[in-house]
Amino acid sequence: MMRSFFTMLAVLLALTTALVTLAGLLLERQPVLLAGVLATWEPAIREWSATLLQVFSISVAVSIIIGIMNLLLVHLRRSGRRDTGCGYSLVLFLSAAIVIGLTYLERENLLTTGAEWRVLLLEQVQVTVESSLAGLLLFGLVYGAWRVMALRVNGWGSLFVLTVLLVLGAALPLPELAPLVPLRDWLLAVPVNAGARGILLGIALATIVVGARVLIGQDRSLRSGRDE
Amino acid sequence: MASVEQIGLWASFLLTLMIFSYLLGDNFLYRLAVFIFAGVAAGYSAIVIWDGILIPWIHDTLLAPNATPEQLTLGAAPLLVGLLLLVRSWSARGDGLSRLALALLIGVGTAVALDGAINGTLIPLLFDTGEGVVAGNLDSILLPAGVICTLVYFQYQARRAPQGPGRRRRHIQLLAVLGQGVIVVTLGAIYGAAILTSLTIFSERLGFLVQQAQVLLPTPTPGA
Amino acid sequence: MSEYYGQGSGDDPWLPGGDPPPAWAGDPSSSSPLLSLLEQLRDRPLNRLSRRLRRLRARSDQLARRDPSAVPNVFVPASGAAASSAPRRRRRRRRRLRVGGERFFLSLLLVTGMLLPFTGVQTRFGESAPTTFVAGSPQETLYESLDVLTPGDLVLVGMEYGPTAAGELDTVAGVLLRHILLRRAVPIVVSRYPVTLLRTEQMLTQLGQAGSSLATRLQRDVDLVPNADWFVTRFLAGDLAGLRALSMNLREQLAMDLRGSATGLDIRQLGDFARVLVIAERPEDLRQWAEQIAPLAGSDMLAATGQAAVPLARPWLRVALSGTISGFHDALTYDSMLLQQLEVSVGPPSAPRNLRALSLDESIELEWDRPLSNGGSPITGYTIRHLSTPYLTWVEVPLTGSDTTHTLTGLDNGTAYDIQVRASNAEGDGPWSRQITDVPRSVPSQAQSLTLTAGDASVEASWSAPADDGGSALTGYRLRWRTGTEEWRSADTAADVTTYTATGLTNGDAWEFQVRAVNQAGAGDWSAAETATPLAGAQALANAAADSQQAPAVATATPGIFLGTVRAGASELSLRDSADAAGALLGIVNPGENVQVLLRNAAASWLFLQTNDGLRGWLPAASLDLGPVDIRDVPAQAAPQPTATPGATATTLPAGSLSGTAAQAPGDAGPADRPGTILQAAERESSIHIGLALSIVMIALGALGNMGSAALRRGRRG
Repeated sequence: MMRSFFTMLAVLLALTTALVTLAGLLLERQPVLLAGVLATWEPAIREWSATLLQVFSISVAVSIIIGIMNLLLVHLRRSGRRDTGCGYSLVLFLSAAIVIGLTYLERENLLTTGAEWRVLLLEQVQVTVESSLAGLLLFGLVYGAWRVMALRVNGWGSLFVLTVLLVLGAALPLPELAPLVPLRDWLLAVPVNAGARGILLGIALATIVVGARVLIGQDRSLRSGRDE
Repeated sequence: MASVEQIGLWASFLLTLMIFSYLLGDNFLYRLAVFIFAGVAAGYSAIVIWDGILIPWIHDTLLAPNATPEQLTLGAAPLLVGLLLLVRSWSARGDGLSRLALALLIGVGTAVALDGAINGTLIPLLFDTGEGVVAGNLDSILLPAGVICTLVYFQYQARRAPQGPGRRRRHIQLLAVLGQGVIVVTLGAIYGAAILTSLTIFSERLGFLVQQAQVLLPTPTPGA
Repeated sequence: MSEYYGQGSGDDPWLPGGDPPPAWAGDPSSSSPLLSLLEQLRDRPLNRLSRRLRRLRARSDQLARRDPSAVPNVFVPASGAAASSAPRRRRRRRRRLRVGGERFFLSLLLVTGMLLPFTGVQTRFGESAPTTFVAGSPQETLYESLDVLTPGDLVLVGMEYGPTAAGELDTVAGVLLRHILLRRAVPIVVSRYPVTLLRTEQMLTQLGQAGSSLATRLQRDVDLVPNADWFVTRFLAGDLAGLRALSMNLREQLAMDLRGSATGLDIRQLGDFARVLVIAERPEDLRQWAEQIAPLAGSDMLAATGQAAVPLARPWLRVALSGTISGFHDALTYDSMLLQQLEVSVGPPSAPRNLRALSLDESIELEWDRPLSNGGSPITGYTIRHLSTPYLTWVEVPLTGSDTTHTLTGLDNGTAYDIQVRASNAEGDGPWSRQITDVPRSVPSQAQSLTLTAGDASVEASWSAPADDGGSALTGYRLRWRTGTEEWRSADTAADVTTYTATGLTNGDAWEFQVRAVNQAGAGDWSAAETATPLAGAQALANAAADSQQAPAVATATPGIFLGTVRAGASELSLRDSADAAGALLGIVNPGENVQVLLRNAAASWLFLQTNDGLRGWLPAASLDLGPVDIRDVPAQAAPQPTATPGATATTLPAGSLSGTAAQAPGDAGPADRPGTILQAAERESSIHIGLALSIVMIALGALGNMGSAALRRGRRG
């Protein structure tokens, strides 16, 4: 009983906030077109819409902070349990603690080394690791293409590999490969453009479907297990 | 004694090598580097969000001098939403309340996504695709044709999921096959482009490694 | 790429038969609904990358085992996913070894080949990037669009990439930011990637350091100033909705910088930006900007992406984007074009900022802040113009020199004046500043008919309102009294109270009284002095009546409170927001005015005071008469806490690559650097070309090998 009450309330809340926000956003895009329809309510709707967006943004920020705290607590607990991976958890927790601690010490002028530890950690650890991870993708991608027809040699696989080779070949600035450039440009301008447009339109249509589900109260995330 | 900068240089040099050790297979060094990174990333994200968003927000609302009840309510709302979302992971009883917080976020998120999908993608892309036909050359006809075939192919895929392989009319099947071709070419181009990006990033890492090695490792002197 | 990889099985093993995924990626206790939500809201590059790597490994291993389920279903007809027989253990182990060997061999080949150009071996492979873009291309359009920026133009820059793309996009971002700053336009950076904000701040600080090639070309001998020459605003939370919140709450979002300090920006709509530029790592980010920001921007949007985003960015050209560049190759060409263009933009200055006014008698005192940009040429003067309601034409007042204050005189009290100011240099006049409106007011005339009634140790004073209120409603009266040559005592009353009883007076002494009226413009002249002598036991009734009407005295001296009087001949009467003649003007005090002294600065040269109108500010100590009080007795101001300024984060980092540890801004390694060139450009170009060639050969050989194997298999079956 209580659960369905909360579900109903949640659906109603989602519906109301969605409609108010949507009205505000539409008014921002087409003020002239809609101002007549919503003349009386326009300033209020715009203000509510802006406030809801602001509350949303700050809520997400709060959620991220809580999420990070949760993550650190989980790893702190794990590091005390001496099971598999507890060392990694300790490393993760200590890394975060060092960054936060150094920031505090720097802000309070308690560090006397004269070095910008925080900036140093950012560039020498975070950027280094993330950039190197991204660099590793190269091997996976090349190896994936190398073996793409390992299972079955068919037309689609061949077309895929040919396209990959054409894109790569046209990017290699050798005079011998220059004839590939106009072909690559045409490929990007027409079939790839068409495919990308299809994908983008598909995403937009899917978004509309999901949005419509929320607006009619059919979204699963608002229902608890028993409701379904 | 090594300077802070030198420690930093060594750290970045070693971390890069630790990550690249993944090429030999998943191993302790790779994981260690990734976990260090995860901790540092969490720390930085927390600092930026705390300094740039939460502190000013609390100062401007909850701690504002002569704050009105409206200001206080507005200031407390996001904190409450965040806490309610957390409650869900603590106890099943809080599920109902946390769903209310989730509803607020879903409502706003849906509105923004809907507005963007309709006004930002669907209408302008459809108009632009259609406008091309007026130009009358072959490419401007092929482009909308390709888009239509792609959408037909997607529709076929979507229908198949609940009902299993279904029968299609021959011309629809032809369009779907053409659409599949367009998608394969598109994916091929995306794959090739991803390799280009990876090459750029990896070359930057290699250059960095060589440069660091020249700075950090002693070069043998003749006769030594 | 996520569309492509997203079609695998949902299990996503770490490695077939290998170790479990790391705890942070799959720990049940850490994957609360909250974190799931976070995962949806913020696509963390960490998780994404790790997932991709795991999938790639799993996929390639599955491919090697001929597992049909591993193949993206786009290549396989729906009915063609036939069941495969389970391979034998030995065969599987042999294949895994082969896969490991193949992968290792290919990796070794790629690493060795790409490493060569950095080792000093003269390995020039492939042609260098062209020095100009093709006419009419999206790249040239972007360049031209930024190249026509005028000094002071505001450019909204979305830095939508994380450190994962730093190796590619730092180069791109570097040349674009450099171009904007070379045009003396003002980049205002926003980002939904928290760490990117810190890195951009670092990049801009290094780009704008005195002595850098950028500063040299701009003929700046001081660093570019954060929150003046460039802005890095606070983190944009909320992902997609956060982006839309940027347009809906633009002013609030841009009001704070990354560190929570006020930026002083007052931008209310996206249309105020001369350009909107997004530098995006993921096609999704670009799509969201195209959907949410581009339609609301006043100008065409420009985009820079990595190569990987090019195919999915293409549809937005013409629809939402007018110009694009992508990848390292385009950045090199862009850099060459910037180098060729040796002329730095010189033009009129931008508009002066924060024009503010103080109403005076038939005059208005004006003060403003210098423009963000002087247009590349020193400011030679300012022009003020004002317009009053009855007149239809502006009256211009030209001023020479760089002084940022002026008093307009000869104005009519009580009349509203619209006022603007603009700066000029040798290149011409800049735009007019934001308009303000102010009404000159005079101080009221003398209060009239001061009459005194002596009581027992008290005197009741009464008076009537002045004949002229100076064009502004009276705010109150100030009464002062003394005996002989003692210090004046004083009291204030409200505007509607015209009697006051001074008590605690010495009976038998002659007490001299004066009164003056006060309005928003200040206090009028003192009335003529009247004298009364209080006597013991006199007129108790009159005293009682006076007590009932008495207004509270606000300026009676109490221990620990220091009172002072503004000197009659003081030359400096401006209250400022800091103990510095250059501090912002907050108001003025009048000669003879009594004030409460709260603090002094350490040198005891300035006093922080509060007037009876509640106005607080700093006044030179020389302008104030503290009477018998020694200025050293006034409490000194505590030493200010050092505040962390963004500019202070600059650190000495080793000269290195464009991104990564050195965070070196492209082309600006410092004074020793060749001006405006990208570091290691030739080596990196060759390395990429060699890697590209090797990749092509490997993929082609792999495809041919697989086709050959398939043909052999068919032949055997046949």
